[in-house]
Amino acid sequence: MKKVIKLFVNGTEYETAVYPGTTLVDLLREDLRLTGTKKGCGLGDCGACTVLMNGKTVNSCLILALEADGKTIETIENLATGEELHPVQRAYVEKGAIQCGFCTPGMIMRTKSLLDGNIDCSGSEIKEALSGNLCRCTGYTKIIEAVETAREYLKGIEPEPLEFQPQKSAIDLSVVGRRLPKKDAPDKAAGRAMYTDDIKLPGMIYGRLLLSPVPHAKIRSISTDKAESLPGVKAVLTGKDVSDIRWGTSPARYDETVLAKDKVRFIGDVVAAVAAVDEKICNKALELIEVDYDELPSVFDPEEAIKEGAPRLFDEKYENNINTVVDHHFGDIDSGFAEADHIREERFTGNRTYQNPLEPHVAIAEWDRNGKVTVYTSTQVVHYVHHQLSRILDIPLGRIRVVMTNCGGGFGSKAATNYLEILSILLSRKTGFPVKMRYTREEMYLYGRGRHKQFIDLKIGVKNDGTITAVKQKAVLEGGAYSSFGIVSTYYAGSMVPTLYKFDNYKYDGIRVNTNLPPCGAFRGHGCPHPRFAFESLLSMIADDIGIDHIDIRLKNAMEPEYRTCNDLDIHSCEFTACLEKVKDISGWKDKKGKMPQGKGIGIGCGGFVSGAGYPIYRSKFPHSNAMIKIEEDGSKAVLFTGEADIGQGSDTVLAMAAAEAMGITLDRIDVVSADSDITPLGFGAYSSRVTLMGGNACKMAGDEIRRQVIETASGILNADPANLAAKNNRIYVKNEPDRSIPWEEAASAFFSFKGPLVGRGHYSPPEGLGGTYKGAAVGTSPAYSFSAAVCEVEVDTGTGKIKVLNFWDAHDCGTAINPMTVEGQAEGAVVMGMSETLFEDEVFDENGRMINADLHNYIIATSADIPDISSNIVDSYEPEGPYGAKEVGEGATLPILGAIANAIEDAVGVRIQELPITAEKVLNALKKKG
Amino acid sequence: MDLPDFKYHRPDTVENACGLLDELDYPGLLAGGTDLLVEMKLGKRSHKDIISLSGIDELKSIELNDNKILIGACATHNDILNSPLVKVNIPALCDTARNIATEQIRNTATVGGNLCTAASCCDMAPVLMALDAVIETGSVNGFRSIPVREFFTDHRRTELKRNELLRGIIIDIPPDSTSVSFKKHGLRNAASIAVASVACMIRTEKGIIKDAAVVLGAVAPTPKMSNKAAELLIGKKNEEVNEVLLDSIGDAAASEAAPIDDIRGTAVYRKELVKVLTIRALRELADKKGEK
Repeated sequence: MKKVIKLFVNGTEYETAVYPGTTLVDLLREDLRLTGTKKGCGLGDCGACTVLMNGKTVNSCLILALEADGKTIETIENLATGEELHPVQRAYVEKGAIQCGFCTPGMIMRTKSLLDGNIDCSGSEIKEALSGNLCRCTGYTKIIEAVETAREYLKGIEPEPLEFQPQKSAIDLSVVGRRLPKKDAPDKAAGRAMYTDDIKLPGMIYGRLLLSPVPHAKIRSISTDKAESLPGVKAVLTGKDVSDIRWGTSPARYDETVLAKDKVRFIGDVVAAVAAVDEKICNKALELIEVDYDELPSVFDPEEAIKEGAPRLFDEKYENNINTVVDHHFGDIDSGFAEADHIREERFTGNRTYQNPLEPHVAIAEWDRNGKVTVYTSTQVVHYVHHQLSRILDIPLGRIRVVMTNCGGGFGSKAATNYLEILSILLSRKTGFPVKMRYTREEMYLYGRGRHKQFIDLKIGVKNDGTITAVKQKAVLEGGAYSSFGIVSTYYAGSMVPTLYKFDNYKYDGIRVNTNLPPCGAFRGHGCPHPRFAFESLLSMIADDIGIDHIDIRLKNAMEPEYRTCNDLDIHSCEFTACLEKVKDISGWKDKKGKMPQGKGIGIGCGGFVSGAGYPIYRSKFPHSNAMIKIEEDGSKAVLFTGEADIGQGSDTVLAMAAAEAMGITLDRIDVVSADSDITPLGFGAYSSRVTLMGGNACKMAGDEIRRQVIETASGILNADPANLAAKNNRIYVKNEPDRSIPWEEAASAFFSFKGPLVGRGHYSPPEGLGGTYKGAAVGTSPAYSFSAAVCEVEVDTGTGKIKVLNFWDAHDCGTAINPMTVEGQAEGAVVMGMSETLFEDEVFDENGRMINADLHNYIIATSADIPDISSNIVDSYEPEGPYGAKEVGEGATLPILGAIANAIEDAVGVRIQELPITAEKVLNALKKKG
Repeated sequence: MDLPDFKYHRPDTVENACGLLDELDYPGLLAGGTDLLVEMKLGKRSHKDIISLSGIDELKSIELNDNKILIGACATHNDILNSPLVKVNIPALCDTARNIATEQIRNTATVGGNLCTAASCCDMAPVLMALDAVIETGSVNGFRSIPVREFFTDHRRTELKRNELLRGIIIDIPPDSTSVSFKKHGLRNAASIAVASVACMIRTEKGIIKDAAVVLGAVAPTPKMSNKAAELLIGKKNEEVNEVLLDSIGDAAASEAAPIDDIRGTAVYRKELVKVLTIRALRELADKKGEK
């Protein structure tokens, strides 16, 4: 029974009737439609739903609406006055503290209450105060800077502008290379940015999935009668109602069905789908579906799974549950080791980690009466969703529209089609209503696609001077029940190893093994972080063995420009050595390494990544990135249309900057429309760190075309040779005679008057023929590679084993940083996410394969109170294949972190942990063993 | 993840709450809700009736009376943290409250709820046990007192009877001769659950330890007194509390821990932590004494 309550929200009195079980967050979001307040976990762990109740910060997901009766509530929507942002919001925007924006409203509300109470709070007080608001993108560093800046604004002080020296490659540029706030940041700060779950369509109903409660079973029968007769239920779908088509991520391993056909393979496998007028009824209906399972033996350990006689997940394929085999040999491994003066082999074990974007997956599907479906989704890859839906539904792309809304973080978890997208469409088709489906936090973990846990045997041979002569790596990837990206992950685990250091002899044996656990996929650094952890650890161990400094052994072998690796990958720009020198210098390495007091230590780790995969996920000849630009008839604004996905990393802004630079206009004169398959041209989306280089090239090309056309028009007005004209900062001028100029918009408007629409088009495909000819040679190819080095300083409590990461100094060769502020944001986020994975994170399953920490309470991620001081640096570099010389940073910056921490711990207390995560308990055990 | 349907009651006096508690069939008591609502959302608990205590003002107060601090069951952790009364008289309780959960949770979760959930990792319990605080309960049958030291009976079980609610906690203001410290090991620096925790109390008269308590959290089905450890302290002169003695006290405390392996740590590790934390807590007390 509903009860009437009266509450004061943002100064307005509301009288409304609520069910006893309605929480405050649902009242705000669903009833009052104040969707600025976000829902990230529903269990009080993430803080995304933070609002002020009677002036105090609370998690609105753990407050009954009834308990808010008579209270005053303030939400993010109340902060800005008209168009003017609140000083806290302004500071968040200006300081680059907003990436995906999903934690932002809660974080800003917490900041406001903190500063309302204590305007003089210290840095450590800020870190402690924000620790109830989780952020997965920023590494909290820029958020803390924003709080400090807001503190000044509130005191009426305008802080000194940052001194900023552009990179050499950006000195002559006017937009690219500048630290500019993201275009989406103000709306995100104001709580106005629209995420999929914020959309409520007229007549919309809800869908939910029935997940398998058993790890491995044949389905004898399913009875849906009771569920279907429950009032409010509109449709129930089971395996027999859906197509037999197999789908997945890599075409060579399409092995998922829309709903379980005859078998379930893990706890969380999708068995049935229900649509009803609300989620409560959906949940009741799910309980009424009767599934008769014939349970089969299951297997969770890859070493067990490959044994003869182990339970098989697929009867018809993947013999011994081996899903993928890679057998690569380059150069001559035997002679390579024969040349070595010192050889060492060690085993390293990774951890099963999950991306945990703050925003849960959501999809809404709506069929129109002409047989076309529109799906709104929180995805990284509009095109691949579009393509896969077309396959599954067996209708052409033109009858499907995929619209990406704002996306509250991905990191690979949203880099493929998911069950919500498919089943919301099928339920919508069956019922005739728009259908919204959303995962709970627990369901996110069960849908999975996180990092494969790798078991790595690594052997490196070196000469006495540290020169690497041979590398042999064996990796076993625990893959879970389905393939997802796994085939590529298995290749990546090996193929990226030779890109950082030069060596000629390399053998890689990789297998991916299916188990009755949630499927693993692509997580930031795809396949590479565990092998890189192994390599960076072992290289430092070897350096100690032969008495060489850890940075010196890296300098000795460091990759150089214009180098073809032993596995046929072409490195072009490479400033890895500069990265190493930079971190050596700024960390005070020489005075610290091996010289710090017991319990404190310093360590180095390195990494790098592709700037976009050289080949698409499925075979296609389409350009990988495409762009269109349309200029307003009065020339006052450009609209950039791109299929690439801004998942918080800032690609809308970065692509707009590349296009604006090309056109000769300022960033405020360009708007971006992105990731809508009906409106924007194809872009493969945000995966493999491809958007800056590939999308940037396409957008620059479109901008160049616009510039040529306006200059052509301007040449008539200025009576000058077009070859002598340039466009910059919204003016077109005669080179060497800058006073002879006209406003950019005048030329653009004149063009429209003479010739009609002023448009530009651009596209980008990687160079043809990248990579070698051996099987799997495509994986690891890229137009360009990034390089990073990071030095870490830790303090270890020798009584408890607890590790405190004090400092990170990192340097990145990302070519020209199109927007240095967003590059820093990526790097800082990578440090903290990498640290969190290294120290805290691990999915844990019970003996039945049930994940026992599928929440943010027991699967812990770093809070603001855990972060080190981070000094992120960009070295001078120019990549000829990239737009204005740019390449990637987002994933490459993650890779150095794991090994750097392990090496620093070893330096601090003399113990080497080779199994992730590096918990306090493991450190203490190792200390005891060492005696 | 939805809350199931229930009937919501919001009495405005303890007496009315007790009446409802007595007459309803297994109602849930809602204080801050940060445990109850989570467990209900996860389907671990269900109640046809929820009795909210938020309308009873007397349960929220923190008062000084007759050299005792009275903390109402529904005082939040931040109420305790920000209470000048508590800060001046029992600073250890403020320090403990400061490190519990997050600002959002501390603004909502109550000390009474924390105790009634009776998780062995409950952060408030060890310090309250060290201080020998007393719980006041209420029911239709009247009020009664239970020392916190006797309150926990098993994992998530307490002495509270079915129709009884926790009204508040009474703490004798410790004399200057008494000092208390609390050490907790969590997996991260904030919002962390204790892997192990230790609270220590010593009362010294004329340089001799007259009373002592060592309380262990998260290493047994309930927060647990380590009597062996306390016995090693009682009767010792301050200067006798040296590293050798501390080591054996740490061992004694560890020997009384009965931890389990779980996601946060193994039993073996927890025993190690008990020893280290006990020694550190006592060292801190010794240092505090030194300052005086």
